Amino acid sequence: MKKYGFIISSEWKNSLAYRGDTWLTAIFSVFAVVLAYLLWSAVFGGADTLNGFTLQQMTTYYLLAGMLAPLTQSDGLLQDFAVEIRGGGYAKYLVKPLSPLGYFLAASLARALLPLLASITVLSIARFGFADAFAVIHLVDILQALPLIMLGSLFSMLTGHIIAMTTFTLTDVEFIYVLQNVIKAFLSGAVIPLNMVFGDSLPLLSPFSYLTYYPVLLCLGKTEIPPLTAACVLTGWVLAALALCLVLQKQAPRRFEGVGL
Amino acid sequence: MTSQAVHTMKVIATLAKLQLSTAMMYRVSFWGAFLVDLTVFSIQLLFFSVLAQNDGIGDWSIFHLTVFTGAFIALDGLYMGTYFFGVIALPDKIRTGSLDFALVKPVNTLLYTSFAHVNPGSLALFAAGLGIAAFGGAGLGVLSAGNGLRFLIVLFFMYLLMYALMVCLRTASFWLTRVNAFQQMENALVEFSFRLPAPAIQGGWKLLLYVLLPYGLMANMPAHALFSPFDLQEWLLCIGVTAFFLGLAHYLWHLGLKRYDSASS
Repeated sequence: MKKYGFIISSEWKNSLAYRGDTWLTAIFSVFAVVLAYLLWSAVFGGADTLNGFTLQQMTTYYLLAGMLAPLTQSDGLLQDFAVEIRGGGYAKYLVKPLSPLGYFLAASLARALLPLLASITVLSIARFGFADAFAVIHLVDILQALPLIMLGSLFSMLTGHIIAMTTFTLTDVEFIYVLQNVIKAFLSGAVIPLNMVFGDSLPLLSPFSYLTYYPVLLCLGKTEIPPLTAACVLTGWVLAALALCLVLQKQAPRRFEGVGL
Repeated sequence: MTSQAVHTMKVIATLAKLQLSTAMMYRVSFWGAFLVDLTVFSIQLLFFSVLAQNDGIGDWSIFHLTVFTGAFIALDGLYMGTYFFGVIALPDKIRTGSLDFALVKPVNTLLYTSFAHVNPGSLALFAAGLGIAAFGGAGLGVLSAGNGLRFLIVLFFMYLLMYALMVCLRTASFWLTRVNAFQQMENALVEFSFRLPAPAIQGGWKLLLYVLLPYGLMANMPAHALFSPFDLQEWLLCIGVTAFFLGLAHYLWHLGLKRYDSASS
């Protein structure tokens, strides 16, 4: 585990080199909340509630979804990994006592930390600066959502790794990377609360429902599904994704046509 | 248009033909940008259809929102198919000094670098956007040759405006090493273009999103051109804002070039 701790530390230091960029990115995430507020204000008109949400809860929904985004959306690591597979750099994982999957997960975690901290800080300032525009969130609800958020983040990292590994089959995975982020954002409820799209037939067995929609509803104290049920569903998906990742990793040396090998 | 600009456009047309032949060899990548954008906008249409079930947005129904989304899809297809990939490559060219290769050619450097990476696959999106806007217009009963022509003219102005805004942001590369944050800002602002219809932009937000950061104009103006009486004030807004930002892009580009340290200097 020590070597993975070192990877986390090294990636963290690397991300600190561009901290200005990270903070500016977090500041711009406020735009998404402003957009949501303007749009939903017009949709609500004078109505008190819409599909079970008040305007304050709806704005808070997008605020929390923005905070979770660094954990659920794949960053450039997936592309870096794909470039290494394509360019021959993947060989470094084959000659070192290091699991490529372990490296990918450790580096993903480290790379998500600074954007996560920056986004939480900036959006929290926005939350307290414009308190009237947002609903009240209780600490106990946030604590209840935390294990699910971590499981969801792990699932996102594993799916990112699976996509990176498709580089062994497809040369260019750039558009798959973008496409999966777009589809994931929709299926996870980051674009629109899932109950507004699916109504009563909410996809409860879909892992994506638990990446943004469910944890945010937990924080808002609005969900009717017990957290344990949600955790069981998500754990099942994490184990399935992990198994697939391990199979792909085992096949990788045979499929890899590395530079100099 | 100067003779150099005409010459540049001929060079770009030849490059585009060559790129089309090359791109067809990698068909999955060729349709990649098209598929991604089609998915984004399908989700957006679904989003608006959900909102329309709740009495729409202000006085806009699902058909107004369809024209709005169609207008942005057409605009997106047009700029993704022509200058998008060329303009987003500018910061790297400036940083690494590879802009030298364009500067030594007897062409207009900005036009050449902007249009040197066409993506013909995205142009299909332009046709799809026009079809979607026409469907919305038919639903509103406003489809006519006059309205259609006005829609296309205003869309062309927005195409130029988007170009000017993209270039303005990228010229920051002449002064800064890393401009990722500006690109993030742009991504966030472009969301205002296709997610925020006119009824949601009120009061002081109009000044901000129609004039100072005119991303709010991109789909709203062509949509208005199709289904509402497009008065002189709206024409002046379109032409004035586009002309101002084109002038600003031209000025910043030339100012930046004076500061440019080529790879060999």
